[in-house]
Amino acid sequence: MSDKDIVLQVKNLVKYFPVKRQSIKAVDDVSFSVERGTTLGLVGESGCGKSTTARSIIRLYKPDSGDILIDGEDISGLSRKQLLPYRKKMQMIFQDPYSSLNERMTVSDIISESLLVHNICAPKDRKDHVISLLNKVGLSAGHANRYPHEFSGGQRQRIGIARALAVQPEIILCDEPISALDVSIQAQVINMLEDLQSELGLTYLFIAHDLSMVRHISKQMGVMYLGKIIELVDSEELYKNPLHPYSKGLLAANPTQDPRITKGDILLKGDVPSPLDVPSGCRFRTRCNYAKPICSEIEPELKGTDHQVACHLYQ
Amino acid sequence: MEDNILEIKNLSTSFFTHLGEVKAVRDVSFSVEKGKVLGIVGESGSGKSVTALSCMRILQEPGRIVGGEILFKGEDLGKKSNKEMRAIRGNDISMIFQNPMSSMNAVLRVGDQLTEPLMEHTSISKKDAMKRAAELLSLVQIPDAEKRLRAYPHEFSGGMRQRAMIAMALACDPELLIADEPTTALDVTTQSQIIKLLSDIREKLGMSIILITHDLGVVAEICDSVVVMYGSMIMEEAPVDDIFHNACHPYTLGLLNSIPVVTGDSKNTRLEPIPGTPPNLLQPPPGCPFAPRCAYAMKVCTEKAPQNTQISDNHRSMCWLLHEDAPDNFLKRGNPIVR
Repeated sequence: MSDKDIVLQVKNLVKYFPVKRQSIKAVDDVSFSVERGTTLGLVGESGCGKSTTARSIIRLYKPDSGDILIDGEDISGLSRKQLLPYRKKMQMIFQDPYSSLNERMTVSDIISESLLVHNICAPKDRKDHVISLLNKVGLSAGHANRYPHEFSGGQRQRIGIARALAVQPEIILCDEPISALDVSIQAQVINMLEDLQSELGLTYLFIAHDLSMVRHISKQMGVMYLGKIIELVDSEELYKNPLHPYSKGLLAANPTQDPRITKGDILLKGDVPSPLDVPSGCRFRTRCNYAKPICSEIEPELKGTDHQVACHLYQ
Repeated sequence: MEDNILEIKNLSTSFFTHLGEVKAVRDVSFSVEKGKVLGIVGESGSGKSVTALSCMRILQEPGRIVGGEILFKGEDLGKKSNKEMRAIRGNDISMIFQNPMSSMNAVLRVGDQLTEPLMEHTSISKKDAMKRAAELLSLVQIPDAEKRLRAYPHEFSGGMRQRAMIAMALACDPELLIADEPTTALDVTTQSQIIKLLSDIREKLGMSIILITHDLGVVAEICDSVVVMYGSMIMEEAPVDDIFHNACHPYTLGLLNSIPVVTGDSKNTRLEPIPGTPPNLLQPPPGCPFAPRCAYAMKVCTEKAPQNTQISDNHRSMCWLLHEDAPDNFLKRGNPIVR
């Protein structure tokens, strides 16, 4: 591991949300690391903790325990003030391009807000900087003084990306950046994210539930289920050789995009159990076809070197 | 054409807003065969939902059907009175909606909502209706049906609510089910369950389905034939296999190329997005709505609406490139974009 340039490392991250006397274990002991200039994809059904993971990393939530290392420095316990320099290294793109832009600010104000906060460029250069950012995401200088409602969903997402790029971050957390967009626009945004990555050497944490898009953009993929990563592996390998029964089911549920390919049986039945009442032992055992007695007693650990999987079948 | 349950002929629907007339559906014609699944694919704003709402005659103000015929079993629904339509809706044609969270009444028990269409359309007693409702819930594979009838929608998960919606739509054994993005709000795993359920029910009850979606993957799995809509017009209509393997419209090809291929080696292949954005329907382009984004657009495309070209019996495409006077025939050349 030492020869790799790890820019973001998460160790045993835990985030619970209190609900009355219980707690929702949204993220429960999640660890992973992302190499500089690559993309880690996180997939899973809704409610599995993908977004909470991203929001805890960028410290929109304060994690209950665990370490978040950016370039080797732990930011999990820092105060707001101490966090400021790290916020410059890490930015986020949100799912809903409608609610994530302030309707009352012009595009130029939205993009330059972070420039002001971080005191990045001199006031006289600010306008040029904003225009160069707009050009980078495929918009023109004429768009700078307009308001968000004048743009389509895809254009709004581009504004969101320009805002994230403004402070020249190293890491961008993309929380379902394309799921609110039309198919023909999704590909535009994905291509742009790929271009920006190779141009600026960005590192992405890419969250989505569209498995084919995540596979397309990610080098590594983590499959999450009820707050845990249950499989963590190179994305090509995950598609060729998924090990965890949940990963297999998730891949089988993905549409084939070709009527000539007949799909196999549905492997995943039923719904995700309530995160308030997580099954004992392996969390997936209630929906697993291979569940053994040991699965309800001992929680499997994420094991392996290149292909990590948390399942008793492989331990 | 005895076996067509629904025939739409030259349907046009507009919304008369303060800004002007928005032509949401322009000259749309297609038919649904008995027992088959027709998919309507398109981006948001392409007019697919408005087409469905027009069929059910549930357009909201300021929307109005401005022309065309909607023939359901040979009878024009456009000429029916509101009272007659009430007898058809939920009975002969029923509809399920995209968002299972907001399309159920949150303060009524699921059982009461399920029996509503039965009580409305048949002279069944409340007790028998409840019995039938329990049957319906087991038909859509909700376990413990009788107990679940007493539950409120918030006690159901998203997938279960969509199942309950389907059960409600099936209550009166409709001949045609219109499903407007039934799986868009659901996870892939739940989506595959719902698609399986819809195709099982179609086989069991022999009804026809119009499935509206923007997801080509869903289309590949369940549809028999497909209508591709763009900018409020039909671009291409074909059997599902032709859409995926012999598409003859640049827009259909563009859609297919903007999704990553799931099988085989997807790495290092760049996606080919369609440049630009969908047209503003307040001022639609005078010619083909897709012309401004089309890589193959010619002068004629921006001036005149494209013609309908019949490629085979049930495959047609609206594109000037297929015209015999087009410089280099699109078809003769073969598909320019090989998938």
